[in-house]
Amino acid sequence: MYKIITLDYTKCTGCRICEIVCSTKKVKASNPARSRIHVIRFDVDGTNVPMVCEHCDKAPCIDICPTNALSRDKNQGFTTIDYDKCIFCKFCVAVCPFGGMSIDYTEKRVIKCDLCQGDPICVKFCEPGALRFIEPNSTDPKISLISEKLSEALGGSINILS
Amino acid sequence: MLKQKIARINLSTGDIRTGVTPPMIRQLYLGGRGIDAYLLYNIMGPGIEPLSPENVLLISAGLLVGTPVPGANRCHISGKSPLTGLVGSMHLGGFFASELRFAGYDHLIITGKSSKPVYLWINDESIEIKEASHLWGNNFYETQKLIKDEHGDNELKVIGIGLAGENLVKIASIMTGTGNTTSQTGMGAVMGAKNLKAIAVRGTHELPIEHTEKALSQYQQVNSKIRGNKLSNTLSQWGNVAYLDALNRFGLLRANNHQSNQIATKNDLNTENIKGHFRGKKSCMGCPMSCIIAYNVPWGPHQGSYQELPDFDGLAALSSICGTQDLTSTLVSIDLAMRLGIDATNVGNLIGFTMECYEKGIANRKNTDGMSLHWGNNSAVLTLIEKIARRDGFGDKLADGFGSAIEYLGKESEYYAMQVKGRPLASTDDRPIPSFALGLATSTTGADKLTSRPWIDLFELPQNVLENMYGFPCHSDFTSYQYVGKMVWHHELLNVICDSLGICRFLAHYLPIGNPGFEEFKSLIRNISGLELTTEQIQEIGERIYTTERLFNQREGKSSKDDWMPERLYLEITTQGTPETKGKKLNKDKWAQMLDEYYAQHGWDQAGNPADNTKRRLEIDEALPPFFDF
Repeated sequence: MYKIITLDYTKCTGCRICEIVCSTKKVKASNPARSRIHVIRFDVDGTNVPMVCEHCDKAPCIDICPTNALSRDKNQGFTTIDYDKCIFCKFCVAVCPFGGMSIDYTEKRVIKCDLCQGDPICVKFCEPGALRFIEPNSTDPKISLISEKLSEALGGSINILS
Repeated sequence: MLKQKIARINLSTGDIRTGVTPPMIRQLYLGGRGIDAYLLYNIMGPGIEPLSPENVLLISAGLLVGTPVPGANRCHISGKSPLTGLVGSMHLGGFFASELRFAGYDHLIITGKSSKPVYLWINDESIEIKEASHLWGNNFYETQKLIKDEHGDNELKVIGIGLAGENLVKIASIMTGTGNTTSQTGMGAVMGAKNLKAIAVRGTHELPIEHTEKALSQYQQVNSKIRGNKLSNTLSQWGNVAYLDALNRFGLLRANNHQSNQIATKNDLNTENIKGHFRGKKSCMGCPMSCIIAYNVPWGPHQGSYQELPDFDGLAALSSICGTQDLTSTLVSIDLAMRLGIDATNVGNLIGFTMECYEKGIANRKNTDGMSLHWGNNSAVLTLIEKIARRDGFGDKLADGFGSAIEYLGKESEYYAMQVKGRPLASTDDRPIPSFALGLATSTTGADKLTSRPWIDLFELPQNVLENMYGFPCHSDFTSYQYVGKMVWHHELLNVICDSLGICRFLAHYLPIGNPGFEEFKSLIRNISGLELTTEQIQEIGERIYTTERLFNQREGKSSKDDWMPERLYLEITTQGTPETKGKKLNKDKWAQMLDEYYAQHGWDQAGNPADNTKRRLEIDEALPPFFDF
């Protein structure tokens, strides 16, 4: 069974350490603009919403990719990019409902979370526990509820859980 | 990391110059508060009027800001303070400093004065001075939103001023986000005097890290150290307002200006009750503590809107110091102060002072615009905050701080002004604790509790534990005057280093003994920036920075005679509290001895002026390469 990162915005304090450590690990420098995870902050009402690739079961990015650069890893279940095939058309960036796909302007390519090959660093550093790395069909009723609601809102085009 | 830039922006001419921070200055002053102190001392002459175009506004990010270091997010703001006429050194958390660094800058030097309202727009390397007439007159929250909308970017970060700063109120704050403000030295008025409404920044560059693996693993080591003690966890859960209850029980909370040191233990004003208005915990950049307590405004025109609590001082200043124990009205007055861009601690102290003058008959309805300023008059507190921020009637007399208020109310009011060098005391009653009092009295920025404040002193730890930590003889009795000078010196250096690295001092051993100190800073600096420094060198940098600030104040005419607490603290005894805190007052003879010990530790002479050999040792007056041709 593969695992995904779940995000609980009610627990997120908005410290953005996930962005710092993600970029530190991936690009060897601190740079939230090149991080694979992002926290959307709303100053006016103090809400902080972490956003990252959900590795959707029916993934819009995989569907839309014209060169099949995006595919699912057979063993671990996550979606992955083959940069040899990618033509940097950015369709995946436009189509992702979660903002999970972003653009790295330094290296001129699209980037997304690869779950650190099964050991995501952001989860390890998340002090308030807003990020968790768990099996998607675990019995947490909150997760299945969110999954249902999302599927409904997006017209059944997406399913983050099997 | 060490290639970060420094920019000089002349608002009078519109001239903008940038350059790399000279490595030699980095070695000697690190960054943040350190380089600010160097700049302030070296580029500004003595006797400059703080609200004139000649004053500089220095905005900087510490050396480790924006990197994987717990709590490294402090933005340091300096210049000559309009309130004290001394170093205006102040800092704020939030996300501005890290964004500034991601844009490529570590320091902004803002000089001159714009002829019309402007704001600065820093987008990666480019710096633009933009028209801000449409922003002028708005409160900070509206300004922040308007700038974000203008650029269509929710991620840009803004610091700016509210109405109080525009009106040159000398206790105006500079704000960012919602609850992050620079308190107390009135730097908001300096921004207002320059016609500078806000600074907005967006950065997408990277901060290279010297040893990434080590830096990441050290983050977790330091974090588990911080998390390993109860005090940090309390702070994390409740913010530092948690100390309200504890200090009150000990009889260390100022009440009714400075008449009492305790409020009724069964009162509305306690941490438990704040729970009822709780709206979650928030953090500054990269901080595992999340000590910001968000709440819903309980009533008034902004009922239900989101606000963040200031620190314990601001809360106590607008409640117990003004003689009120009503929590909801305090929360409303904090919100009002924030919306007007005025500092809660300062304004609470000024109101408490006028209330005591009113009680003593010095102030009356005739000279206070017909207001009845009796203790606990919550509506008068709200009216006065508004009047001060708008410089309306009696508020105008208070808007310039204690000096002009005393001038207006008469000489006899001076005794009730609880201030050192023009800045109000902290909300703790420091009569039983000489180490707290010495820190306030000698601080380079006026009575600043964040300059030293060895909270560790209060826990009465065994002598050998303290000696192990400090490395010099210590006393475990907090009422003792012995060895206090050294203890204050140690914490001054530690806090100066925190500010220069941009680390929040709540994550250093400001409070709990197990938190990071110089030893951890050494490896943090090495892992992140690659600078190789020994702990002795880091301590010396701390001494250099603090002595530079002291020299600036000396040039402005301050000396040992100004390093005393208000007369009242030496005359009146504490009437409440536990056996350790009841019946205490400060002792003048012991104070003088304590000052001597403190000066000697710093290498300053008996008049409190840095001695020549100290200046030579710290290489302060040596010719250093100038940043720019000023």
